[in-house]
Amino acid sequence: MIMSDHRTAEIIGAHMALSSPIAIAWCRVMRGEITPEEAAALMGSAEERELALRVFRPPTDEHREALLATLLARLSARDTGACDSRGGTQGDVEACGHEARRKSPKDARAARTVHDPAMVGGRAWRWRWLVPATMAATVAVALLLRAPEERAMRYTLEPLMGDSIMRGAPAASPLPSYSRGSRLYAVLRPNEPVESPVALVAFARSSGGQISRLELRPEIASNGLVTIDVPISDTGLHDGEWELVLVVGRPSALPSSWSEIERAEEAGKTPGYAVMYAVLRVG
Amino acid sequence: MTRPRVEELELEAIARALASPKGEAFRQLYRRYEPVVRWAVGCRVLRWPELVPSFEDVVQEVWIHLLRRREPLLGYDPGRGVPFASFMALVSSRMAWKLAKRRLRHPLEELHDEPEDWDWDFTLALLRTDVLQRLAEHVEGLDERSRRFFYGHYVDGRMIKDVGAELGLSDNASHVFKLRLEKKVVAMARALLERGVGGEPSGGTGSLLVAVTLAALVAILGGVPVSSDRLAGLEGDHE
Repeated sequence: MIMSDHRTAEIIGAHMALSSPIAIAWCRVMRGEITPEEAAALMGSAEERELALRVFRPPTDEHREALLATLLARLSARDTGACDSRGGTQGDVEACGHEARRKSPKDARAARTVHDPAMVGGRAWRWRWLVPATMAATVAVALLLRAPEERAMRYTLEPLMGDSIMRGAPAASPLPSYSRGSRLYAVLRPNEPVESPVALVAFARSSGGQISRLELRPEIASNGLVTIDVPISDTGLHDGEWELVLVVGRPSALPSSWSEIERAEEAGKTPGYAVMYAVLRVG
Repeated sequence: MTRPRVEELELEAIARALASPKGEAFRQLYRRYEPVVRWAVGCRVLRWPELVPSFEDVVQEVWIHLLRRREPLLGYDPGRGVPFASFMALVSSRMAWKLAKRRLRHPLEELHDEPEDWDWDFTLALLRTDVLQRLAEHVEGLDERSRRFFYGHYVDGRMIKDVGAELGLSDNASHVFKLRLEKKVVAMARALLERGVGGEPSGGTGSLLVAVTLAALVAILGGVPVSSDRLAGLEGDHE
């Protein structure tokens, strides 16, 4: 019963959080009984008042419609995902650091920011799908940027293209998709010249949270450029969505297991390797 | 919990919206209940000032999660005495708590990232105003350490180790304490459901029938996620 024990506690906690005097005051704002300023006056400091107003001041009707349009666009982009609590979905490339690591591929996509009304609609919306492919790898590296004395190895994962690179046609899904007969092609480029030999280890996490180590047999150039070009059928990835985790570093520094990466991150240690994340779909 | 008090949609309209979260029915549901979700999420996010700039994102994420894993929403049962707005507020508040903790990079063991469509029946049975109020009173009546732990973690959303440290517990002891506290709370909840708040057992066949009605309505209207187990249960209850 452990699985639902915490859920029971969370629901009671939610009830209690929504019963607090502050919650009651802002509920009265929602009901139109008092103004946001009157509710804010109950907050302790000026800073708290400011924060509360930022959160609770009701949006204009126009802004709310823009938020709705954004939400609908996100749901549409997910194909069948919103209608099937167990089935697969489509989505965008998502890479990057801790956020992606903590989420299933689907969750990682859900975490994207799309509330800007200016981004709703035609061209802007299309850009939302085009940009992440480029941004994803950049952000992955950005998250790894630390103070110079802490810097470990830094790499950039070039955006995965899925089968579209083979067919020469735009991908139907913003998520890089691979058929069973295609090849996983990925390039990991060192941000700075690499002087000592490097190696790669790879893991994949299924949307169900299962972690697998992958044997990708990369080609590694003397300048540190890592190229993966392997049939999907050889990766061990079955149909579904996967979070791909690629780790490059000195052979002696590489983690031997997924939990080792997690332990290093949670301890805030700077490992002697670079970790890159991407999400892909097989099948 | 204070009551949002909005003009509620009919059950069929809610079912229609959930069956097709892209159609006009859903737009109507969104416009009606968006302020409720916003309020419920806001009450959580406000406890983490660093998340305030991301507030709109968290609200959107909550909607996405609720629509993607609709088991909690499909379990809505008007027979339990909770208006749909309050129900939405509760499930949104809980979801915001989880998503906020993710954004704050709380450790994985705090997030309980199991599939949300797993065995909700017991939790849903608690979603009655009177039951929740009584459970909150039980929490208030816990010993000082348990009460502080519950407030610190489940209400304020602080990390287990931080709350535990304030109570003089090591990291490991904090997690053990949390598990025991959860078991204690669940035992209270079970006893309450069996005994009944007002002397009569809470939940039961009648309310399960209504609970399945929303899920079945959604299935009839074209939605997918009604498990065969649930439908089998519905048939059994009819008999």
